[in-house]
Amino acid sequence: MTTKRIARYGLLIALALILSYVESLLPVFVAVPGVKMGLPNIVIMFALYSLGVKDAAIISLIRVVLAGALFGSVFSMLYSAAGAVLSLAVMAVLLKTKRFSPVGVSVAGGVAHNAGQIIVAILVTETAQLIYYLPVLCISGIAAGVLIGVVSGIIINRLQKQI
Amino acid sequence: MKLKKADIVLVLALLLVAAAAGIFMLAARDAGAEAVVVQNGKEILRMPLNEDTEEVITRGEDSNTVVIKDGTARVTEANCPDKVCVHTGEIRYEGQTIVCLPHKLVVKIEGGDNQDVDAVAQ
Repeated sequence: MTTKRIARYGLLIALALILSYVESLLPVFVAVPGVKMGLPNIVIMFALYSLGVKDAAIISLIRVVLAGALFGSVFSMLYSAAGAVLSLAVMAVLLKTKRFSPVGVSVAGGVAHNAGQIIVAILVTETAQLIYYLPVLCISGIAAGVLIGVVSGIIINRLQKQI
Repeated sequence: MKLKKADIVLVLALLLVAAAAGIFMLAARDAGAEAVVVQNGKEILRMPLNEDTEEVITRGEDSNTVVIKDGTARVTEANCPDKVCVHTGEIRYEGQTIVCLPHKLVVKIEGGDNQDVDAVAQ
């Protein structure tokens, strides 16, 4: 592992953690649990585009563990991990097809993240009725995905050569 | 940064899936088995939703007409001043209520398919 790589991981994980923290401060204005912006996904999107799937996965998982330990609980860590894994897998596949802009990749990631969380919530609570949240979470995932996709697209374009 | 055609197709497809799932879930809600009429805190009548009937609930001068038709319950006529109960319209899902405050009357739906063995077994 080169020094440059260590520094890069440190920088991006710190950034993702700060965004997780900022997000935990935002008021929840919808009654459905799980509706959120997904700010840390900006960092994951950037890592995915400029460093690759493996680096993005490492950064994402370390972020989930640290953010869960710092701002959440073991359960919130479990939910986030499920969302993060599914979301990154979907985003990596869509990126590989080369047919989507960052907006499309991020939208798919947002929806996949919410779907992953619902699946874990259903398994943990053994309450199949939670599937009723899916339509709302799907739409919120699309909205958040568009926003994060636009921001990530701009950042990826401007920073790709610098890191 | 430019949007690609695939982005738009993806977003539209996901929106469509969300809308379809939402509509399906609304349609698949548990329909109740019985309309329970409660007046002044006391249960006075149970009306099965699967047979069309009509009952006039009277107490002194107060009167409300509860009609069961096509699996739904509604109050069609009432001599209360505000007519909120009449304007509530049809109810059919577990937990839904029609309230007539001036007459202290509540019509509520109880017993979905999963609870009411008789509704399934008859």
